[in-house]
Amino acid sequence: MAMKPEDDRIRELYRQARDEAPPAHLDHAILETARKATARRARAVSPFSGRWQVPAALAAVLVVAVLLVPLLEHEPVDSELQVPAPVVLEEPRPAAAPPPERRIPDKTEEEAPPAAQGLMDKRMPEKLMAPEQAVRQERMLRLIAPLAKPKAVARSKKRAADSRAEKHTDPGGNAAVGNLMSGLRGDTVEPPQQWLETISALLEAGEEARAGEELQAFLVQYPDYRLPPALLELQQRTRH
Amino acid sequence: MQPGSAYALPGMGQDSSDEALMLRFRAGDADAFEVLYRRHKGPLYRYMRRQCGQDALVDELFQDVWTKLIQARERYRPTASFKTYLYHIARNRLVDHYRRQGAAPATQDAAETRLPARASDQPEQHAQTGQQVQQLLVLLEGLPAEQREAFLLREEAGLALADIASITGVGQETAKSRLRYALQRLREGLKEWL
Repeated sequence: MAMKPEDDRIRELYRQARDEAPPAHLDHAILETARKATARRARAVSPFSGRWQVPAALAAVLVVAVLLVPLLEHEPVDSELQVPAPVVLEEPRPAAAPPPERRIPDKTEEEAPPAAQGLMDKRMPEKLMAPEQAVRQERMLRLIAPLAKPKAVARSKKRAADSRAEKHTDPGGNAAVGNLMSGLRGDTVEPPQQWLETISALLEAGEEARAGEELQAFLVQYPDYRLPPALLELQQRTRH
Repeated sequence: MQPGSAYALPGMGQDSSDEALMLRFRAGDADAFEVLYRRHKGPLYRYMRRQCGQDALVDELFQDVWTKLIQARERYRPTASFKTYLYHIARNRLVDHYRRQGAAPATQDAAETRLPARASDQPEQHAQTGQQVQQLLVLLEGLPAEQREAFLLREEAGLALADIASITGVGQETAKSRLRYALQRLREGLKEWL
């Protein structure tokens, strides 16, 4: 648009009139409104809200899973599966060995809550464990202690302590027979066939008294199990 | 001084255009809004004040415009210049005000009663320029609303004819005519001093 010289003069005059501005309180109010609006938005747009909520949750689950899976893989699911094979007995235990004490649960253990009692009964004979396994079982016992009767827990702890002390004083295996017998008397119920083989081995080794005791304990556990002829004879002799 | 070039915050970087500032404000940067506000508050205030004609009302309308801008920031898209966007909001607010009040913008009839005495009637000549400015403002107030609006959008906002046409919702030729007639009237009113 073509401008005349007079128009320039008009514009110049108008520029001299451009001195009005909003009052300061209006400036303050408007700027405050803007600051409040942005502050509200900053609160609303947190890292875990809006469109990031679902991805953040998924990422958190993934991280937890990645961290936990290796730990679970290293944690033994059932320590009984890791029991080392029993050593072959060279030296038989004397006949005066203590009688089986745990085949028939005592009154204290029977009174324990079923869940805790189950855990107590499933624990491994410490003498058959590697040291780290014994430590792990002891930790487990501490965990279930509030649920079990104090007497049973104390006995388990004592057995664990005895086991460690015996390993220090008799690492050569002089107590191997005792260990095996303790294992047999332990809380773990052996499969019947394996148990009978052990009794037969005792019988063949001349430990008839021990074999008889074990057979009686076996019959308490498996009263209807069909015995082999040799053990039937032992049963007859034991009765007499 | 052209809006958009004066106010900037330290460390603001290369792009401190109105549009970039508005986008930053949309993203939550209140400082960017402050720069925008300081750039445009004066021209916008005068644009509204000279159209409204009521001093008591202009503050309220002015605040409403900025509040609307703040509230609508999420919808802002830099498809047009920020100034066009801002003056669109301001014009709509004024039109809405006139509609509610059932009143037209200040007209020539109202302004003519307030015309100052001509310079030749004044005993002193040293305040001639001040009188010319005052005379110009009175003449401006007496212009038809469309012409005054076109003049103010040109002089205050520094908008081009195309933007004036866009804001006022008319063709570019119409906007050009309005601006030409406005200047013609002002020339006639000030011919003694030009």
